[in-house]
Amino acid sequence: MRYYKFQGFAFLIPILVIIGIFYAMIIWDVFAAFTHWQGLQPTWRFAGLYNFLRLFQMSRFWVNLRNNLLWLLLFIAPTFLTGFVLAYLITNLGRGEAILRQIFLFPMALSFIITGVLWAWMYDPSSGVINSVLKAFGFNTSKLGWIALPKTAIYCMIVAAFWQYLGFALVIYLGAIKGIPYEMVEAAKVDGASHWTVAFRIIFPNLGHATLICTTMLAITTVKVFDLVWVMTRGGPGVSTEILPYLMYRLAFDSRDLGMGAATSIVILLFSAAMVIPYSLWALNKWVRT
Amino acid sequence: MRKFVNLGITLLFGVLFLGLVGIALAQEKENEFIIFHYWTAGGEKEAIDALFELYQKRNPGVKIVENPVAGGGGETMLAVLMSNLAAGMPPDSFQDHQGNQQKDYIDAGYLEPVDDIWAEANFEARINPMWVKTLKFGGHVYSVPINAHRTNWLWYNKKIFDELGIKPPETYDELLEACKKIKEAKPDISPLALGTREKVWSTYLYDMVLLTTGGPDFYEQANTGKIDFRNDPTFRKAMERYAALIPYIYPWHATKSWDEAGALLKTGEAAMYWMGDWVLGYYLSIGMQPEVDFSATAIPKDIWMGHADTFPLPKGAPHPNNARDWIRMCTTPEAQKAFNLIKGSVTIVNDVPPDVYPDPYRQRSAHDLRTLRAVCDGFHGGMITPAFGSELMDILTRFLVDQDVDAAIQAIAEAAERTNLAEACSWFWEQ
Repeated sequence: MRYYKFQGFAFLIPILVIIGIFYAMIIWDVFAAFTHWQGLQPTWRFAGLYNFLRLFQMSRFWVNLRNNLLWLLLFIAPTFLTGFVLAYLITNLGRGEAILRQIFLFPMALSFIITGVLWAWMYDPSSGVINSVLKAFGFNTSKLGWIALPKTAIYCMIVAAFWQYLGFALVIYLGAIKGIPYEMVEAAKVDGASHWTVAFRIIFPNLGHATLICTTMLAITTVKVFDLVWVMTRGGPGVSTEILPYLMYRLAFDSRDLGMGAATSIVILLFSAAMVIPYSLWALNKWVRT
Repeated sequence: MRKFVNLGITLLFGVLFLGLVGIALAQEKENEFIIFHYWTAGGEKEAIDALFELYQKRNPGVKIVENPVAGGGGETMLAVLMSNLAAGMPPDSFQDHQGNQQKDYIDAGYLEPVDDIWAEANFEARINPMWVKTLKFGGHVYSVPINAHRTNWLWYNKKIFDELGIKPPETYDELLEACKKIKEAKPDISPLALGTREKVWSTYLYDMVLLTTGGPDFYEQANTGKIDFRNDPTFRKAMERYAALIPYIYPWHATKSWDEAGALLKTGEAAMYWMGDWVLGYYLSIGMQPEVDFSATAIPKDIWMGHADTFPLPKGAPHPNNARDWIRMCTTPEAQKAFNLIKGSVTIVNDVPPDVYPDPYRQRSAHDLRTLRAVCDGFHGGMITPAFGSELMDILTRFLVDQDVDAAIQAIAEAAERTNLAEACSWFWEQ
């Protein structure tokens, strides 16, 4: 038995080393956030909260934080709700399900880079397909800048991400709905419940775990939409579509202010921890109970 | 028994690993020349290949190892380079600019002086004094520039200009006048093209208004943080002149990259384009005829503004002799000519005659660089620091949308303070 344990650990060593490096880097990053590290060479001079104070004084940081919150609010709820409604409709469809599921899942196979390029082309105010179609129908498109206007750019990007992640939410809900005992739905229908009632009062409340997984995954996605920002707008116009990871990159590698870049990454770390911890607690709770 | 098998497997992997490390170390010792650059697009690639060919002729036994990292603006290469330098694994040379762009590497102790190569080639006497000013740090030089890109060019659609009878502008006022005329005659097109998908191009217009409003000395002071941004009347005037241009700029500039914005001249959606001379290669490649479809004019005509690409010598380069020979080769007129004829830029050295270039624009650029007062452009030329430049382009792309002069001046002043612009640029005035 002891021998068995030893072997088990021996096989885990490579992965433990990799995870160890990963955590060591996070610790390194925390240290770097409290130093005066500017330029290319590390300077391990303790700076206290200097980097954080400078960061919080930048109006740009608050624009970034607001954008991250906008992503949270406007991306997650529509995506999982639409995903749920579509999943419900598709399960009632019968044979068409297999095809539709593939169609909705297809964008998930694309990377954010491709989605970004595609949608940036579509949104292009002078030659993009959206304005061209609108123009063909006789609309005046001279004021429709989409991602070229600071006021609308971020919403346009959220729509692109919504398009990509809808299939993900749909598949999760499809699987979860199939796990619900059919008798429950039958009984409700016998009692004369409408589709709406069945969907939102019977099925949805029974999909708590799916919703939790879905929202958590989508929340994590909002923290890493870096690539979409990079490809579609590079944070522009101005800084209006920047999100925190993008700011971190700019500070660390363009401004060569590694200290502030590290401070930004700590904010991101806390931000994502706040989103993942509820899920982890729930998962842990479930694991302890079983 | 099983224990022994496990031990055997572990040992086997250990030996394999050591072997790999050994091979890697042995390769280090090989006769190579390792270079980082981001000239991977058409035209650029051929230019650096011409240099490689020349180098191979001088050093037949040396294997050239390129690490071309695709990605245009070079930011990806920079991130890779930074980690390699920090890890003490520098290449033999890499593509760099001058001024503050290079100074970060020197401050970090990553570069080694090449004073002897400059002296040997009598390099200082063969180039415009501006280059010396932006390549010498504390009396030492660390690199050799290979080319000179002029950036105070205004490219224009010749057909539109001929049709409307507009004289190519040579001052800011004439430029604004031309914008007004074009807008009046053709309200559907944008007089001035611009692409700020890469935000850095917003700083090119900034350089132009600084230069045309205050002259070259003011320009150098402003870009090195020696003026009081908040209260300087000339600076305010420059920003007002920038704002005055904004209504004539292509409105969806945020969605265009520099080449897409340049193409607006071809489609006739825009009439003029403020851009460095690398756009010439692009225009030729999309089938535009020089002096038929497009032409160029310098603003202001009596200043040459631009920047160089340089090859520095990293400290601890794995093959220092090969690296030094590369840098030595770059001082020769043959290497400069071979590279620049293809690259679309002109030679740094004055001993290549201007008439070797096939187009009138580079002939003029080469001639002007020999004879006129020259200044480095702000961002790529390393007049401003990368830290300030990064903030400046964010401020300016916002300014391009809201046109708020006061807010922009305030933000620029704050950014200059936060990044210690004046202190960081003091080296420029110390020589």
